[in-house]
Amino acid sequence: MTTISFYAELDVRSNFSFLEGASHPADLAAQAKALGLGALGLADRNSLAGVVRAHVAAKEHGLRLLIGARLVFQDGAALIVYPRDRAAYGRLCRLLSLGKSGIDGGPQDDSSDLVELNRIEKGQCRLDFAHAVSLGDGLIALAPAPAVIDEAFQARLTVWRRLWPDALHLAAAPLYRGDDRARLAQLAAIGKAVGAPMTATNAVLYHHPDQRRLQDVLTCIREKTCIDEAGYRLQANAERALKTPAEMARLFRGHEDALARTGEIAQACCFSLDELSYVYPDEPVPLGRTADQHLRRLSVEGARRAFPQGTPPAVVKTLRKELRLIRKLRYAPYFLTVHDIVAWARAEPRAILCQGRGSAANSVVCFCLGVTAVNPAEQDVLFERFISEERSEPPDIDVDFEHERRELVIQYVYQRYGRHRAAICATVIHYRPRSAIRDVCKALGLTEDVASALANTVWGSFGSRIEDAHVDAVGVAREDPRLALALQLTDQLIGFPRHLSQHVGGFVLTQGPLIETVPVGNAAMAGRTFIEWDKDDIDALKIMKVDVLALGMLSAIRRSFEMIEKTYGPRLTLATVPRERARVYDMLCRADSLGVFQVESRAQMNMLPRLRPREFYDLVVQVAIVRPGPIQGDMVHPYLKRRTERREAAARGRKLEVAYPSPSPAHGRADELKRVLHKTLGVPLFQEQAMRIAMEAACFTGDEANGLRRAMATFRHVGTIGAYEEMMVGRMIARGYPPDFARNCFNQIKGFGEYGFPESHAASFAQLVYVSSWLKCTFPEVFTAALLNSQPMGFYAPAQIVRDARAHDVTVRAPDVNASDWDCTLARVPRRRRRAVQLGFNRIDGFRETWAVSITTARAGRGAFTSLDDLRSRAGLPSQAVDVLAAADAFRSLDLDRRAGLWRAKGMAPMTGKGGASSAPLFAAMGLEEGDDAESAGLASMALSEDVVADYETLRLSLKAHPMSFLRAHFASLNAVPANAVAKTPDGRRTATAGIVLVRQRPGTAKGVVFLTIEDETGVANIVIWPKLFEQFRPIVMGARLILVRGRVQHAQDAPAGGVIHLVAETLEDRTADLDRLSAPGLATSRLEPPYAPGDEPGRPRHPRDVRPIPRSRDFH
Amino acid sequence: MTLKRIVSVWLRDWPITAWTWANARSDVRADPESVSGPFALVERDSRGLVLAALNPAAKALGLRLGQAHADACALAPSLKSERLKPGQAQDALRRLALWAQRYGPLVALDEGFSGQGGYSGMEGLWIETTGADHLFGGEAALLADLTARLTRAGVAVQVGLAGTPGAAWALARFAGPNAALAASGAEESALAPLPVEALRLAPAAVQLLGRFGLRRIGDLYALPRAGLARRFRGEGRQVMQRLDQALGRLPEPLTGETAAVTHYAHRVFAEPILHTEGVAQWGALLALELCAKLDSEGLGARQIVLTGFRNDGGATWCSAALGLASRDPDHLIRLLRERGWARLELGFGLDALRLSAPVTEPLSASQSDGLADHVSLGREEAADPETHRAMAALIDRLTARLGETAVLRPICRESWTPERAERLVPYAAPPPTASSSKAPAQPRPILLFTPPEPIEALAEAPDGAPARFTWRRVSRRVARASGPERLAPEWWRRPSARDRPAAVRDYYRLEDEEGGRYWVFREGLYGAPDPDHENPTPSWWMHGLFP
Repeated sequence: MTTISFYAELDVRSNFSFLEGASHPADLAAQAKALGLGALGLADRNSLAGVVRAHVAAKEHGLRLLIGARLVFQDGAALIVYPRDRAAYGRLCRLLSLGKSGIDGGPQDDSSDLVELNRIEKGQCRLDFAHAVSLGDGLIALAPAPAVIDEAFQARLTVWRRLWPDALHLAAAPLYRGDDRARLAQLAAIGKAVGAPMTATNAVLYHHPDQRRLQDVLTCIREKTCIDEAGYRLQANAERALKTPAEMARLFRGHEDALARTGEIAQACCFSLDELSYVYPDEPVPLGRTADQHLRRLSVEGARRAFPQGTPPAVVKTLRKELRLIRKLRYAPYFLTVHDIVAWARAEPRAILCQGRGSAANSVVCFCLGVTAVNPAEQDVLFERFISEERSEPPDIDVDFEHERRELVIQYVYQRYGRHRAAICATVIHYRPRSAIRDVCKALGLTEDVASALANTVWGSFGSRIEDAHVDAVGVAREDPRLALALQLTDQLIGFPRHLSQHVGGFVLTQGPLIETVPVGNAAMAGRTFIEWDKDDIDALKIMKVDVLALGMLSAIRRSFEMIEKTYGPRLTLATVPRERARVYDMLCRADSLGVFQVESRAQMNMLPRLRPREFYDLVVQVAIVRPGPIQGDMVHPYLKRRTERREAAARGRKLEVAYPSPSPAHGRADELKRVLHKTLGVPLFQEQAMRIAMEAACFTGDEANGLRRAMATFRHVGTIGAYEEMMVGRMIARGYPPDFARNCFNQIKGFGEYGFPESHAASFAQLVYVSSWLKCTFPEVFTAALLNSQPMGFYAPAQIVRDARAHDVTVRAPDVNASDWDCTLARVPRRRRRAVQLGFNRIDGFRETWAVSITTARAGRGAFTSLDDLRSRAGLPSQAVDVLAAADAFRSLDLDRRAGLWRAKGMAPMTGKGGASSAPLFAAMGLEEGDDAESAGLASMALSEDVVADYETLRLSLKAHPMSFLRAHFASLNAVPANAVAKTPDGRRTATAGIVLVRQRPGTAKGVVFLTIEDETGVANIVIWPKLFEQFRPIVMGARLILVRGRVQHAQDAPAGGVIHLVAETLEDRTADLDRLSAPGLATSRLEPPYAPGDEPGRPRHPRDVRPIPRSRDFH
Repeated sequence: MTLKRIVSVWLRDWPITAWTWANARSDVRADPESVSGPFALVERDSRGLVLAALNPAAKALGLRLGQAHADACALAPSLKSERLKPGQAQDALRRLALWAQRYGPLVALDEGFSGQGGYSGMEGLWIETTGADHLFGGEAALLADLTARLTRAGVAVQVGLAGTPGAAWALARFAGPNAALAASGAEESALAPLPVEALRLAPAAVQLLGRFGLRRIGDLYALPRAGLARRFRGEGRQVMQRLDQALGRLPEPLTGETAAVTHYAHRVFAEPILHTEGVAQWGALLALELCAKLDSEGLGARQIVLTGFRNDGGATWCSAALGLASRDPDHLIRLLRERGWARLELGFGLDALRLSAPVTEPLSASQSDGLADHVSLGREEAADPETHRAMAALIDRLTARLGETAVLRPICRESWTPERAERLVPYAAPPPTASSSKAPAQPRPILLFTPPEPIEALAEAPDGAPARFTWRRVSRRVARASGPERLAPEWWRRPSARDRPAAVRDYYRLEDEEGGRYWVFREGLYGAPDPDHENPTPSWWMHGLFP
């Protein structure tokens, strides 16, 4: 036996070589350490996506890690390269970036026309050996020996050797095909002849032989086949695992130099990711000033603008403190970059609204720079929550922009910094239970229905494994061996990276070329590039990112401001909207919040009358409280109770005294929690409060609290939070806190792991809640038009927005060729100050903006249209456009109702030329035009109910009537009452109601309860369906468009009159067929099966605003 | 225009029926009848898996054709589904069309009108029964007979009878059983109350008619033709055409998709044939006649069917498939004899006999040119066409006599487990498509012992080759050895009773001092823990011999 004890495995692929490697980088690192390997070289296929994870794990285990990549050229040849220093690493990144996006950092790389022409698709890498020449010196290259050693390989080797005379090695691995001894001897000889000495490897695909099964499954997924048919595409054995140095020494008996070489290579490649010194761009800093000086100047100027009466001393003090810390940590360029983006957006001809969210709202500097809107003079801000020295984590500023114009901002960033220096962060798409089940079942050849039955046991996309109970519940035999295998492999596959995708908007910017720090690839979306590392990776390397996010409400608010200025005069900004108006809060207390940012969902509307917000901070609480965190932590009811107590106390002219849980006197001050919780009346509602409790009440150190925070953030992925539970609850109890309180606190932290708001974030959102509420309250017609023009956004469909507006005394007018623009506009109403909402052509399905422009231009030229022919000849509309207008009933001003309009439109001669001239006048002049207006008289006139259905089909709403109004008598005979009557029914009484299904929800926090919102001509009714009933009536609940519900009325507890009233369902009936009676009055339902309407599928949970109560029309598309 | 009478047969849920039939025959699934709950056939289109056909239970749950499978499962978790086999329903429809010729000579396939490739749920048949109804006791009786027979066979069916295909189609699907029959010339009034969908219109045309308030066919009668026609450009163009066709103002011939067999020989007998000898005698004559017809067209038969029409209205048949196209009457007769024309159920006698060749392929006069293409040929056989033809004829006869599963040939199967790398398939089955992936690099022995034979061997741990071994009580010293080739078991397969327990094998090629060459393996590994291993002590086996 040889005594070689040092061996470095240098040919390793992790699961970031997608569908090839079958182990996580961290598992490989851990196993390498456990087996006693001297070093591990990670070289994924054309990728560095997994290296940060490996780096972190290797550091943890004290293992030497070589960072490299396995270049797979377009001709199929493979070459493993390990950079020896930072410069060579940069060249490798540059090479991969070139292969993945075509970006080479040259001066031309922004003229993207050329790039787009031959665009490299997302996930592809286009590399030829000619490109690899640019790698230059400073690296070690390993040419892995192919299965068949042919002359082509030897020729390649000779060429490569010329490029790297001293750095090329031939990587050989035992294949266990029966000829390993001969093969190794042959390779050693070739290596010697060429001058590329043989190096021992094991061509590792997984860390342990047990992973072979998973690797086989991955092969099947990759080859799109099933395991029974994969045949020789599978590995013959389980030898592609990490092996001990002793075993490798035995396999390479007689080739000891090949083993020793691994050590030499590991010695030579001393590059580590720790060497990536991250430098933020200094563009925004003017010449002759340092970044800190510039930031100080901008902040002071901003403060002067924000506080024209003089900056409050407390703010000045905080500002100084922040600037000091920023200078110390050298974050000034980061703040300046964010400021630069925001300032650019504001300076656009039509300023793009933007506002910071998240923890940045804790910074006075951010406020002064105009990045965030939380006024430090009104709100307590805690800079430590944003940046702290101890945490040594980079700051993270998230800025929301108008959703329609965010792309402008993104492209500005690309243009300002260049594609070689700016890219979006990646999101690693992991296998989730559903996708894992589907792929594993397919790979194992299980049938589709088994796969979907199993997949359907997972509601939602998260979770870490498939519960046995769920499997039994769907009636699949768990004992079936193939199924047992599938479940076992699914568990292993969950959490594997599947592919990379772009982050929602996190930009990484660098001073030097970013493409020399990390490979940059093309995204699926044109004009977007993203790096290979995700948020956790760049956090680990302390790289900073700026989140450029999209928010629909900002678009709507900007439109509102513009419309107000144009129509009524006053010029408003986010900052100048009148504050703290009682009328606004009155409106919110009535749960009259449809369309308002954040608080328009049903759960929020439920909460509003109970919480009764009276001031801005109440909105902050309102935003934060309807979240899984506070709900799961059972914090909602205590908080509401305290509020009621406070109100009662105030009514009696007293102040509420809250009793704070406190430790036993031996352990600390009795008011330690009061300081944390006084603003929320003793109930923790925000993320920071939970953390502060951990630090104050459970005496967590900074590090422990940090660990807890990280465990919370990654709660979904790894179950590390359990250890903290014991620690926190145990310590709190030991310090004399009530056990229940301790456990509640911890449950809340767990909830935050899923979705929780920090206070600063809630405060940022509350700003928009207030502004949108103020708009809705003060200018409902403006707000309505703005919401409609900003679609799709928000929670409700246009029909509900229009309905709500009309309920608030806003006049809404149907689209008409003589009144509408493309957008919804405001129209004068005689003798009224308040304008009417004129629906625009954008409300008509299938209508195009260019047609609308032709119409408005023609109208602006020579006035209103007088006839259909006039319209068509002057606006030059194609017949398709006229058909769509006719179907949408937009000819009323031409004295044509829908049926007559359609008859005329359809009867017009087709357009002849492109010039816009219709042939019709010519025919008329020649006497050839058929005078067939009379014929339409032969058609039956359209019943109003038919008209309404056609409105829904073309506009998705109707101003004429509600479909249910035609069925009222019918449902009255079934003892169903209108929705508004349900609201007046006493608590506990049985009743029935029917309506069109607007929303189906099954929130994760509601333990399987389904909430249904149905609508009739009088309003909406809220239906609650318990899980048992849901299972019984599942097809009806999931599929019905029109539903009849019988049940018991339940008034919300602790809500005053006017609170939300539920109908708890007892039986359900699908009355969808009744809708057919509207469109075809009198015709017996045909026995034809309902035709399939594309784009309108029930069943799958979809966004409520996309639900169409009546399927869209299928003509003219 | 001559007055015709056309029956339209609506085969509701036809793809489901076809699937059930196919599975009842091939016993792939234990019991297709057990699919009594909601069941759907699914296919993949651009949106992923969608429902392509539904049974009544699935329809009752509100599921619809074209719906995404995932949506359907959310609605009805109990939905069972299977992949739709392309062509299955069409093939079954063609077979049913053959059967339906009992009601009339001309049967046309009605593969739905959706025109989008998928099933519309409207599939059916047209049968021209002009002048044939009296055989069944009148038109009403004919419809009753047709419905009863199909219903008994488990086919959900609705029928209509009128003077035009369009009117019959409408009546079958929309009129209800009591109004399914329109007397000659009464189509106009019979169709008037039916919805416009009954005119076989595209959904867009139906919708547009609805916008005009035209919902029944009768609504269209009164309208001015010119105005209507002009408004139904594009999507609505067929409205007038379909209306005119249904009312007999425009002809709609049923020839396009006729399923009538073109290659056949047919005899009608005044005196019914009561004995098998008669079948043999007439069958031979028909074979001569059929072969003459095929010869004149340069075709050869790949399948032949002998159908006897009984005088009690029933039919009986036997068929045979040919591995190589042929028009040799003697060969056809031999095949039919092997297939058992003696076993035809003659009942009270056959009043007609027909020999048809539903599947044919071109066959040149010399009969030798096409041979090289023939897939089932070995190269040596192709060299001698005469031998090959004799071989093919022998295989046809053996297959006809013994059944498809009795005449087999070996093909390669991709498996790392040597004993599974080959399998036997029916000779008639199409050979598998060649796989692109590579076979094992090492040679395999020409003779494989099944099961492997135990040997005793002396070898160096952990994976050295045996230095000597004892097989069949003879001890041999190994002169040369190579290996190991390590093959891990197929973990996904359930070990059956006769399979050896799965463990990793190390194969060695050995040569003893006498020049004998062996393929031995050690099952199980020394030292290293093996997850699939049940037997901890490795054992040695002889698996094959090299020449």
